[in-house]
Amino acid sequence: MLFSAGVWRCAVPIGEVAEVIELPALYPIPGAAAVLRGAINSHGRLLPLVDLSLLCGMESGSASAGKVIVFDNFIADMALLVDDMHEVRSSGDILEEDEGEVPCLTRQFMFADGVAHLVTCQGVLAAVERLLAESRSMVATCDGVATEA
Amino acid sequence: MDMSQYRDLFVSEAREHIRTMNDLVEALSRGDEDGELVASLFRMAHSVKGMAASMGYQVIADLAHRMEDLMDGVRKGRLSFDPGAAALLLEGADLLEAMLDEVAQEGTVTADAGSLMGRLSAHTAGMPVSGTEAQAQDTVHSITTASAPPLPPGRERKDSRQTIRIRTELLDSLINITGELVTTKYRFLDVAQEMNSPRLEEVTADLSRLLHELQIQVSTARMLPFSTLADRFPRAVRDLARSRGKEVVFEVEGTELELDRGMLESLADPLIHLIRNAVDHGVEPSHIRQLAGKPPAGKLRLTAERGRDQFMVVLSDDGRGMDPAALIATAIERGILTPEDGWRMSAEQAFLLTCQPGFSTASEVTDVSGRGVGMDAARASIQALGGQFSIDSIPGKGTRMVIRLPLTIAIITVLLVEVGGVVCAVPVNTVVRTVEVNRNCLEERGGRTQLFFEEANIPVVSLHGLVGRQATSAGPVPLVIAEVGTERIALAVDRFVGQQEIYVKPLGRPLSRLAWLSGGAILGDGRLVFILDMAGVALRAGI
Repeated sequence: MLFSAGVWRCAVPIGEVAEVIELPALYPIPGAAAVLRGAINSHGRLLPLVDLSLLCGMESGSASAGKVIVFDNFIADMALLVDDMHEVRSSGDILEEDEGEVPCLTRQFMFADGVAHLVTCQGVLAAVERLLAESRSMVATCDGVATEA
Repeated sequence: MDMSQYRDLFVSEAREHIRTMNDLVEALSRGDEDGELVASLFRMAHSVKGMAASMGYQVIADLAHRMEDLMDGVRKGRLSFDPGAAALLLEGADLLEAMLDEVAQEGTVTADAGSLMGRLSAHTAGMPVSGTEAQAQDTVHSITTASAPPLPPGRERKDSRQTIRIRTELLDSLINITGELVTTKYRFLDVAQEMNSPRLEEVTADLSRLLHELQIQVSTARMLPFSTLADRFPRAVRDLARSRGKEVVFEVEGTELELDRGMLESLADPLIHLIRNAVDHGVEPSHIRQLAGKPPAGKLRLTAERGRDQFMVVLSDDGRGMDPAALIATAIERGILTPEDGWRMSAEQAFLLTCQPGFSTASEVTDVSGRGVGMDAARASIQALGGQFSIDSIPGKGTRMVIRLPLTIAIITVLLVEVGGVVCAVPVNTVVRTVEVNRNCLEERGGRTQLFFEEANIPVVSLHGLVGRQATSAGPVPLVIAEVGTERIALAVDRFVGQQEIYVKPLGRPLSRLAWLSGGAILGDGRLVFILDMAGVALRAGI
């Protein structure tokens, strides 16, 4: 399934997609990194919404628009915020597969009409968890002014 | 023929047989010599053999066959049921259990049963078996249990209720759906009030009553007897007492009381550690007990009690006990406590110092209780279940450890607080008190804001930092005084929203990597909130 995130055209294996929805109400996740834009209620599940543009080092799109890809994967509970959805392509349309050029997106497909970067649940999860592990802890004080630990 | 669809059923039934085998061996070891018990034990091994063979697990069938042969010898009077036979059968039951774990997880068996099968065959043939009998002789007599021995076939209690097997995942799913319905009920209530519709309110009240009944029934369906967990402990005590050269009489009470399955599973590791710790450090060796005028065999007692809204597990021993003053002195010596804090510490707080990481000295750390989960992790696990842990002890007389648990882990009571417009949930079992203080009551010490509360300085952590918002009010500071292990922290918030029961939703990856969050919930108005983990909040704040 093809979609766009920032300036990139991306592809997610359709088998990893549970559903695609409009951006629902977002709720803050205390202490989470900025790439986790908030939590959504997906049929009773609390899912963090990963901003793919931010994760790939680009500027984030609008906070109030975009589409949400909910992953269907046993290894992670999360959803992906992207700019827009495009069409579904068959794997037979892939002319060539190559190493990716975008951080976090390590594979790319060449279609007749251009490149699409492969986005997988496992790849996104690994990138997010790496980011969470690297984020430095903050020491908070009673007046609400946070200082670096 | 594809037998994989029957694998779960095989594992489940074989485990039940092995559990019964353990019980029967324990009963026979106590001297309940009974032809029917022996015959029953033989049949259990025979059944496991047949089931395993039909599923194609030949190594399991072979091991069960050797155990069956041994019991056949006992049944026919050719062999006596001595401690050596008991030890071999228990070892066999352990290995069968491990093999079933492999079957459940991998679908195959890789464990090697060759050595044990050789020893079983040798014992059955009347040949000496190295080590086993002499070791078993030492302590088999010293273990007793107050739980009722299993009834052999023919003496089974008549139970008119019909039962069926249900996959545990289905029960988990039912409790999840029920939790969702509870959330939906609150949404209905909100809508009824917004619409000012008495009729809708009436219907919602009916729905509420039915949901309450459903919640009780579904929760009941998830219950398992405490014996499911406790039955494994006599073996553990026996083995441990033997390895430590001690005599221990172990008693269990309340095994018939029921507790949520998830709670029982999560209680296993902390409880086994507490038991090991009691045998290892609490109960003295026989010669020291006799010098103190005590019976040579130490007494360890595990009791389960059920109250109106909580389940209590008590582990008590008549061992050497603990001296609070000595514990405080040790903590000061190791830099865990300042002398000033030590003087202010109550006896109850002093006993909980044993749950501080790094409290044990190298000389106290043994290959048993010094390995794996520690007292600190045991207490943290209990708190993670929404429970409380306390210790009482009298030097020379013994120690009593008490675990208090809610009856279900799915629904807990939280204090909702608002910080920078974000609502967070604090489990009430960690809350000591809520206070509002003027800012001049707070003082800066060593780069950290502190509150002087109940004769002690408590570090203040602003949750504004956690939610990434600035505090705006210059007025009094609402504080939640919360427990983190034996310590306290004060959480600065904007306002207290109130207490509420919530249905806890576990967090998957990647949110489970955020140590300061223990779960999430959906409020009646549809808002999502996250439940704060106090230990994680303190750690994040550098405390």
